[in-house]
Amino acid sequence: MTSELFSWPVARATARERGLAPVTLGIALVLVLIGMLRGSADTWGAEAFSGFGAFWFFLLTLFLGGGLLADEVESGHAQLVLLRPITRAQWVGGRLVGAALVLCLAGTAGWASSVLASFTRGGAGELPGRLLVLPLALLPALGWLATLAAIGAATRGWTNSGLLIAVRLAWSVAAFALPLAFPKLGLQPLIDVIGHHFGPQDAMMLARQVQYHERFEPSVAFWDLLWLFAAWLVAVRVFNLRELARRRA
Amino acid sequence: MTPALEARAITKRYRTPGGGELVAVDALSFEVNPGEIVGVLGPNGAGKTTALQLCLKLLHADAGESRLFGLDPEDLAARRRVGYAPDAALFPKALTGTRVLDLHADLLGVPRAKAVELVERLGFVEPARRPTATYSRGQLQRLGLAQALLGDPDLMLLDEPTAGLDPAGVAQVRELLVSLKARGAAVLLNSHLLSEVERVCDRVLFVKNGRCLRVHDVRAGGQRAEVRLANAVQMAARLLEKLPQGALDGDRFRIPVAGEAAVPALVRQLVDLGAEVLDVRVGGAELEELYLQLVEGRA
Repeated sequence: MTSELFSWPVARATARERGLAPVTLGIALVLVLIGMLRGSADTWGAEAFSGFGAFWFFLLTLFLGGGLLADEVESGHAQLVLLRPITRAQWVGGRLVGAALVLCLAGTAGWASSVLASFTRGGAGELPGRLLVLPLALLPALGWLATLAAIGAATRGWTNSGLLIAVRLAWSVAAFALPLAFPKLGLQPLIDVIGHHFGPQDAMMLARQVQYHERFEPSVAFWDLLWLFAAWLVAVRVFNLRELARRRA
Repeated sequence: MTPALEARAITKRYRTPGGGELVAVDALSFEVNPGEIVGVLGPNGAGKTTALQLCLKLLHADAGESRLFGLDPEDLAARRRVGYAPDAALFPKALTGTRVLDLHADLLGVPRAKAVELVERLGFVEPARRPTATYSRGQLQRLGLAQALLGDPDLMLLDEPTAGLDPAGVAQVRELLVSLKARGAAVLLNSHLLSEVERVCDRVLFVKNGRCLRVHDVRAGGQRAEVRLANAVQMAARLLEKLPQGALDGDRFRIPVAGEAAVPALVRQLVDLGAEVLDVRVGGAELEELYLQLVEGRA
């Protein structure tokens, strides 16, 4: 099965390569443990993606997206794969989908352990909310993964993960420090607006809105979806341009 | 008949750090027809690998173009029919040889059983189960060959396929080339092994500084035996009298032969004349002479 968007054989090989790495298995285990330990009657299964769990889940995203394209290009294997009857876009898509599959599997394991722990500790009902937690947790993570692929289409090795950490840290520091440093400028509203569009956003509140029939505001989820596909598109475009430039050099 | 591979005046220039320009491939033209093995010979840096990559459009030519089966090399239909084994191929270190071959089999849409068959044929069963990070140069070379052979390509491009291989591996590559030719596949072979090239190739391109110096038709001129004699000096007059088509050079007597099958009769004839035969080689010497003459500029 190979679609126009991605090559399934490439996705499968990538999932195997990244999914069986000891780091991936280790972090997946940590997520399961966090879910088991933090899951209670009142929780909905988001424990593997919030607080301490969020750190590990983001770390897994960084690991899965680190050198996602560059590893293959720099080893020379991409050259052989791209001689097969697939397009460059399908190859990039296949690498991204393969890593995304692993991320989804690890996330599902963390969510399932948390939900099971919740059930065993007396938590029951509120099923729509509990079920929605998983896709809403995965959506921004997939957006960050696609962002790593987009950055990685133009950088060497694992620089993409390093750059993403640096940019996110820099933004956090700036968002905190600038309004304090220049209070007269009234930067906070501007920083809030930028912050709401700075990468994929946490959409977890939608689960609550659906469960309790509150006012439903899906714009965050749409933003994440838009970010995911835009980053994917950028990854394909940048990789294509870079590859053509390399061949012409 | 459409050539399997056709290169028309392909040219590639590189900018050097000093701002100059290096012409890696200079208006190189040739073709490889189905059922034909064409060798490319030249010193290191002659542009052989670059030429192969230009043919496949892994590098884009500054001028000229290449066609695979009359199609653009990036055409997916053309790629389906091509196998490429690069020099010093590398693979994802975490994947086993089997997984790598499975991936390439899936991409080509051929059954994975084909990969298993190739692994056995190339004597590669045990290493195929290990991650490629543990491979020796020769094992990587075998894996590179196996992935290139998947899908029974109609055109094979091999870049130094015997580098790093043991003698058994070299013999296997030779057999592979012969079997590819027998089923009508076209092969372009970059190699430094003159004897191997002469044994399997139909034509040879001598390349230097990116230019084709000469296309040598290996089969057209027939083959030549080179016989090393212990008593060449004593035999000189007799040999030239009885075998005037031959020539004596030091202790080596060179003479045209119809092929390897004619060698036993030649040796018998020499022994009957009183020659003490130390060693016999078929082929190699002529190509070596040509190589030295054309590429190294020796008279």
